[in-house]
Amino acid sequence: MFKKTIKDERIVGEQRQLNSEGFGLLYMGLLVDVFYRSVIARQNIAEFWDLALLFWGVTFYVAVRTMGRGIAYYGGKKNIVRKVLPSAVIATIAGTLTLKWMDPALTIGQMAYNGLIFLIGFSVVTGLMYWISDKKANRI
Amino acid sequence: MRMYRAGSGLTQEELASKVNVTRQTIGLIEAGKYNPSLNLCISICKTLGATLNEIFWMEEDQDV
Repeated sequence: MFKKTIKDERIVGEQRQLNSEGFGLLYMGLLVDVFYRSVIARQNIAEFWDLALLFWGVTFYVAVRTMGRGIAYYGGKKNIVRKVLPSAVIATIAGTLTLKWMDPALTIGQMAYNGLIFLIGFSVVTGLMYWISDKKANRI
Repeated sequence: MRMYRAGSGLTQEELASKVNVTRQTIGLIEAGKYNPSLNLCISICKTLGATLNEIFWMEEDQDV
């Protein structure tokens, strides 16, 4: 006789939570490592391509799954600018300052140009992700 | 829930076995330290021969 297998929802839930916390720790560790190697240590991407690929691969996977499940909620079409713009502005400022720090020869004009391109690109991609997620959510 | 379980003559271990969870989960539910899913609530109610209202409904002055 086989022993009856217990599938306790509390244990399953706690296991999932632990796995999620473990993933979060690994992801943050990977982010710090990739940031350190590329920005602080200024290593060539060829020296840590495996870590970078893993980081971007996981990021892409989570983003695609989030959109696919329609759970990137932003509170309706009216809120999309309010949701996207603040993070786009913060990312642009951080990115531009990092670029300047890595390349002090960068002029204000070049920084503004790079920042503008990044701001537009980031906003479009993030907005598109929310839009796709919203489409999926409306089908549920 | 403890009252209904005792009334049915079941131990925590026996109830846990019938609804396919561990004894600890039953203990935590009885102590109000774990909120079971609706499926598990229904399963417990069926096993104890009571309704969801009887076992899980709380009056306003009761603790969670």
